[in-house]
Amino acid sequence: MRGAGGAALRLEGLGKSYGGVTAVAGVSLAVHAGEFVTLLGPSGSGKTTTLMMIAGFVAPSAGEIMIDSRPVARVPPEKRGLGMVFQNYALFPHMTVAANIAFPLKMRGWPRAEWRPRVARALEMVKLPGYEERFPRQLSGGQQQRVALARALVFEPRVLLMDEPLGALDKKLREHMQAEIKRIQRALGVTVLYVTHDQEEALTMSDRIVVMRDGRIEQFGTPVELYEEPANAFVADFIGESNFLSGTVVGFAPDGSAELRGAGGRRFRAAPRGAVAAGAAVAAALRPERLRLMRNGEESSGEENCWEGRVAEIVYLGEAIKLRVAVDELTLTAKMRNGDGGPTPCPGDRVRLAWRADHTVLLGTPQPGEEAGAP
Amino acid sequence: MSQSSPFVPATAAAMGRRSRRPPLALCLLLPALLLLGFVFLYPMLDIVLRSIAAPRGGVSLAHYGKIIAQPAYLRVFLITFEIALSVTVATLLLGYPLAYVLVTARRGIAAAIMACVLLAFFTDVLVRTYAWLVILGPEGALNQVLRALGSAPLNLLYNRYGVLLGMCYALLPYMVLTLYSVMRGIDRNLLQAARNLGASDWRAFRHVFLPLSLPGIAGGSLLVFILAIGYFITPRLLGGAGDQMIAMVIEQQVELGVDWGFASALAIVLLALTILGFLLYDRLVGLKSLFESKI
Repeated sequence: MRGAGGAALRLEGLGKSYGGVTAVAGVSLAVHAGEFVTLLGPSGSGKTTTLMMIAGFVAPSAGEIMIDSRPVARVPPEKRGLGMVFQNYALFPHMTVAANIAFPLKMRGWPRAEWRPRVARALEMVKLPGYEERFPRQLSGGQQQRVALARALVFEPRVLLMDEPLGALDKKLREHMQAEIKRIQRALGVTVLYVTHDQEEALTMSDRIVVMRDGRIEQFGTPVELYEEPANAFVADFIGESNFLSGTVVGFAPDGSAELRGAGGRRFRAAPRGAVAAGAAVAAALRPERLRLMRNGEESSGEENCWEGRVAEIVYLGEAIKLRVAVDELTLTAKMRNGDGGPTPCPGDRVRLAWRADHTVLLGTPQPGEEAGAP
Repeated sequence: MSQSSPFVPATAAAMGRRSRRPPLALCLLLPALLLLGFVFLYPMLDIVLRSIAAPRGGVSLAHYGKIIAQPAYLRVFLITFEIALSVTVATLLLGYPLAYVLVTARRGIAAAIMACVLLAFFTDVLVRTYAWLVILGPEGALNQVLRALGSAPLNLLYNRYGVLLGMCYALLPYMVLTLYSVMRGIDRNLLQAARNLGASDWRAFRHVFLPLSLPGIAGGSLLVFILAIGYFITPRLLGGAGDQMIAMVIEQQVELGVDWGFASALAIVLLALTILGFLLYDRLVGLKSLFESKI
């Protein structure tokens, strides 16, 4: 199957409110042609409502949707030409796999002679050749997912919408389907807008991720940007795991890193982003895997920060070990690779944690006190 | 094997304790089976025997011969099926949109409609039939309105119109509730999927909702048809001489003629025709193939 390439998708101040309740508050977003963009957020963040407005099932209260340069906000769903994979697949139970996949061709008035070869090619693409005459109920969840994908792509849409398509599959199958979807998307060059609440799925699949909360975009960027430079505490916490440190800027080191005084007078250094004035109250995020457990008598190797604390808890994760270390009233979470060598500390042991200033990410908005400390 | 006694562990069943105790399923079914046996099977058998009993003992098919010999009785059967079929089609045409609104309307509206349907359902059939007398009569509410509007009065009582109106009204809830239960089980996502794939509102209905609601159409029609075939009070009160249905003739034979044998024969023919109709329906309509679509 060849693709028709992708279309650019642009949302301009797209909003939806029900009565007085705002579900989506003026979302603006530009997705390049052929890009894989994920809307990521907790339930109630407005990501599904946004997708439903793009699909045409929910009428926006405000704003416009542009596909390439065509405004479609007032176009009925069947005229938008978007492929869509639903959360529960939404395969027609009374139709065979072939009839399901041929449905969009039939509705679009494609010549009947083209149905069979196109269906066969679509099934080949999703690696289910020869399944034409089965009914959906005779397929496993993963197979139904593939048929849904074939049906959504058979008419060569230039944008594919996916609403938590892998939510019902078990972990192994989900990872497999993630790779399959990426393979197909690359082969066809179709633009994909993907909705999920699974941050790992978003990180592994997306070119760029839109993190949403309460109907607003918190941050839009590549997985690396979101993980390494989260814009605020919500993003830092939602994508991966973060320790939050709050403090006041007391000065600047010669290398440009900011000197901060945290709770209890503890000092630490962070690489400032943008202009930070001395005296400003700021919050910083620190990834658990950036904390290094220093062995007894070991000297820091370039880390600007080193705090001492007491091990409160050890969580064995298999490939990694998580330590919760109490530093005064603060608890830091450190994650070390299993098999890094050296004995694993025990609860109650005193340990030293070191980390680099440029791994301490200052967050955009100053966070109130309750954000300080690891969860 | 442990299915018949779910509360007995398989090992206990294997040890032979099952043989000393009747299976639980049978115990649970027994009261219903006994009741059915006494109030249904036994009278049924009795009716069959009466229909073939000769006056002086022995077996005779004279009653059946009489039914075939007299065109009047065949005509009654014909009228019965005609009325039952008309009522089935009419309730389907009226009930389908109603059930559709019930599953698609906002909750408040749907609840109000459902209340109306259930009210009709729970009101006694005699009460409802007398209400039609009041509405349809020559001096009834409908004709008074028509007269006030300067129109000629309509003759809607003691003829086929009255029978059809009354029976449709009485049987509509059965159709609506059967359709409703099937329609409610149709995943609304499927309609969205159809729209997304290029179907207009109407075509999404035509290609997805309608086929998926066919079991409801089949079930509701069968239910209404079977109920209509044996209908008795409504055609008697609202119908005329030409609207005699078979149940009325059977009643006359018992009440007036006191001919239990002939009445039994009529009842057996009605039952046989109904079963035949059901089998034909199952064959012709072939629910499964009608329901599924291939390319």
